[in-house]
Amino acid sequence: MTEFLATLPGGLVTGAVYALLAMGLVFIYKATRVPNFAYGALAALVAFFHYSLVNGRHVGIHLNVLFVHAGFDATIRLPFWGAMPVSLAFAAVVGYVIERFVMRPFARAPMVTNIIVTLALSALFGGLAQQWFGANDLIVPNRQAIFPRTSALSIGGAKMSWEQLGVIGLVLAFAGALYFFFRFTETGLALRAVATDRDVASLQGVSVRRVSQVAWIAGSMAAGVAGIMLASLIVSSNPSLLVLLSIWGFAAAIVGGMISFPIAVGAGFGIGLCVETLRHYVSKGDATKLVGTPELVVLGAVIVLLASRPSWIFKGIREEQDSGVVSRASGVDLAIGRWIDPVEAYRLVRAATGQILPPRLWTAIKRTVPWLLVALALAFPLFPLPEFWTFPLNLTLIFLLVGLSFVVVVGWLGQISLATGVFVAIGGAGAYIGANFLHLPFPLPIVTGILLSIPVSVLIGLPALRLRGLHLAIATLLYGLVVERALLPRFTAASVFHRPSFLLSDRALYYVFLVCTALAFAFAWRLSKTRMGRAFRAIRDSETVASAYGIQPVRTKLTGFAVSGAIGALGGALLIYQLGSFQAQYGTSGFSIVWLLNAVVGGITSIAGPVIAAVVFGLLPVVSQGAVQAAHISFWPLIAAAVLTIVIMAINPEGLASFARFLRTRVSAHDVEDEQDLEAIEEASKELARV
Amino acid sequence: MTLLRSEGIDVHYGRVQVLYDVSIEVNEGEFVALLGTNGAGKSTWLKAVSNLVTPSAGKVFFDGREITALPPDEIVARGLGHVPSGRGTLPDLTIDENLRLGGHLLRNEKAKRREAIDEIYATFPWMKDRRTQLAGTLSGGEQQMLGIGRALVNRPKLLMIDELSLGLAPIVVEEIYEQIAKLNANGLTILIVEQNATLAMEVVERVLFMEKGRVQFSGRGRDLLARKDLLRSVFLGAKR
Repeated sequence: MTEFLATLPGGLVTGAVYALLAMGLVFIYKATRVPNFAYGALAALVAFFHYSLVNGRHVGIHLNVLFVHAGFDATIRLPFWGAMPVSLAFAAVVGYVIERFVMRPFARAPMVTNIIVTLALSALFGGLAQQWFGANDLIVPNRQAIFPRTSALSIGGAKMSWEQLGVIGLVLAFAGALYFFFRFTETGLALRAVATDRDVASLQGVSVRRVSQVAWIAGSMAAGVAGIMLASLIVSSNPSLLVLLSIWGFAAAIVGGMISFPIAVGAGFGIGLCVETLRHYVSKGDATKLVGTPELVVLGAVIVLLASRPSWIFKGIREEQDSGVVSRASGVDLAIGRWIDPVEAYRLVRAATGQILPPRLWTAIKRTVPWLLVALALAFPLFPLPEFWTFPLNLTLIFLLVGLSFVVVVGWLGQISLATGVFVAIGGAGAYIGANFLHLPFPLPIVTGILLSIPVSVLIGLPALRLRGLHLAIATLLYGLVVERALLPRFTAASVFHRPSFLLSDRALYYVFLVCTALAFAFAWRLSKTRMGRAFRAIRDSETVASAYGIQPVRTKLTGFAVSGAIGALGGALLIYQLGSFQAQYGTSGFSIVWLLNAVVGGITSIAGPVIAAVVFGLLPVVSQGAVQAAHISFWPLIAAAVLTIVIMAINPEGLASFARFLRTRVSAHDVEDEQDLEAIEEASKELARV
Repeated sequence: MTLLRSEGIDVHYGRVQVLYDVSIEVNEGEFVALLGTNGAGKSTWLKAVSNLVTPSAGKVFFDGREITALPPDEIVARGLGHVPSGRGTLPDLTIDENLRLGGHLLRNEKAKRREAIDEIYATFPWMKDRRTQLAGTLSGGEQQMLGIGRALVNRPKLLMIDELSLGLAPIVVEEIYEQIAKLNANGLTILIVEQNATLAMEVVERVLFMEKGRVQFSGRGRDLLARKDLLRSVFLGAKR
């Protein structure tokens, strides 16, 4: 009993932080119907901004205009609480900018679009935080802690510090303030109305725009407070760690259906207590063997809860409606969410290029370009390039597979899954087991990697049978979290992976990778033309209609997840051949998010999309920076990808790959419309006939 | 004097056009019914007027000024009340909270709002007795009355009620008609959307008839009944 008491304070504090994160998420969701995946990154950005003020930040402004020479050079160093209002003002400005310039154009966009856009924001803020403040750990010394870390009270075996008490108190006070706000203020009442029905609320004179502005500003400030508290509590933290922790906040919020504060707060405390208590008991056993078990248990509970679909969870979230029409155009609208007319996008492209390709030339290009690419890929290592060039090239090939994995599950099957990182990790683990424990000769370890992914994809696919959209995205993010906590730590730097002797050079490996990638792409391309490929797209467009035409959703979805998983696992297996050991940055949920964004920019529905994505985001950064500096991590490619994703989502969610299609389309915008309609109808009727 | 005028409204949902060049005028003090079958575009027109859906062409004028591009809440502030179909009562809010929300624009003039709400309570005394009851637990008719009452708190110049009688018992419908006829007699301009044409024609001064996204008729109900070409396809079996 005393032992349990001893774990209580730690659990309560962790729970309090999750509860705070969950409340901020619920607040923004209620007011705007946007699940803010950028919440954790925002918290990290503000926390790091705050600590850079506390630790001294150099600010220099120089003006040299004609005769005016003004200079300002100073190191700003503020006391902890003095920096607080500045940091919160910073958070408020960021919140305002997000609402005004990013979210407002997406006001009526579908859920899937909101997920991708806020994931992009998450990458953007995470990238900015690390670019500006460094990717190193932030160490918060005693004198900068939010409350003193001295012992405050001890009851039985439970000891609590002022800091722990203060954090719990602050969170409870915040919960109380929220209750008061919603129950008794006019803005609170308006916000509850907006949460239930935006249209009805606006017909009462409530400005939906103002409500969402208030929510983003207040929510961002709450994120800032949570970030500063978290950084202080963890003592040593980095931006990606804070982003990771916010996923637990998401888990708590989704248990409350994204709308219920009491359930979200309870779930936050519950998750914190469970994880910390379990961790205590696990640490008494063999710690290395049981690492990650607490997360595994709690995550399992959350996913089972989601999959059992209790009514309160699904009350606040309108799942994507089936359109009842099977066509390519509507499918993309539904799955990815287009609301700028393609005709508009066409006009933009036409205005930019001024010229349209004649159809014959288009056909010629379409036929030759893939072969040119293959020839170029084959000949690449023959160019007089230094040896180190093969490393980024090999990685690019792996990124191609990662992108393809997303295309299959998100673009074709229409399920927002962030589990590809999991498959990359599983593939690597499988190859490792195959080579180091089973002592299989090359290429069999790659096969074991792929085989190992199949049960995992079924495991991940099973909740997907009952979950969609936001719920699925969160469930798959949680899987990523478990892999990060439970699987990756088991393979430390000591887990060295040896290449077979004939593959020691990266150049040799390049050809192996090229063959594997080509096979995977050929397989995916063939698959998209088969009955199963058509069934994928039918499920994406409308599950109801698809099943009315005799397609089995269960079989189709599981197949889709298995194919996507196998491709991801292939990438993971190749990755471990390249790297020679597990490396923490691959296979995490962060990795999945980044590559989902990259795949969206490339073109999530097109098989050419991953090629564009891998070249733009895998190869170009290396080219532009020069391989010499490759060891120095820059976050600008990530930031660029995030910004590009938002722009792409606003202009044409089908990604860069689809712009080529506009180049061949001719004459007036009206014809484009008719032509596309006709195309869509023809295709739909053909697909139905074949299915 | 014209209170509301829509000029050549077109509305598209995606690539599907649902309203074609809809021009409607409502004069001050009038009691108008907008009739038509399911899917004729009646509700869409109301939403276009309130800017819940943005028209792809056309203009809307209210009380002498253009309101086409204004956000919905500012249109409400000009004095255009809109009771959406499905009654639009917020189920998780109590009766009193629903009414307070209706007076959202008067939130800084508490006394004025209280007075307006008390007037509603005087019109519908049952609401006062059950003011802390959640709106979701009310019957359909009660919710419709609450929806209308809530729109009245803001003291609109024109009240548009969507699907007035949908899903309600005839006796309840009669009671609601009685109430809004009284409001109209007191000078409030009213436009209702109805599928039950025979019922509406007995009460209102003027009917508008929509079909397939176009206004086909505007005039007295009696004259519409004479237009067999319009009615045959739509109101087969309607009372002659």
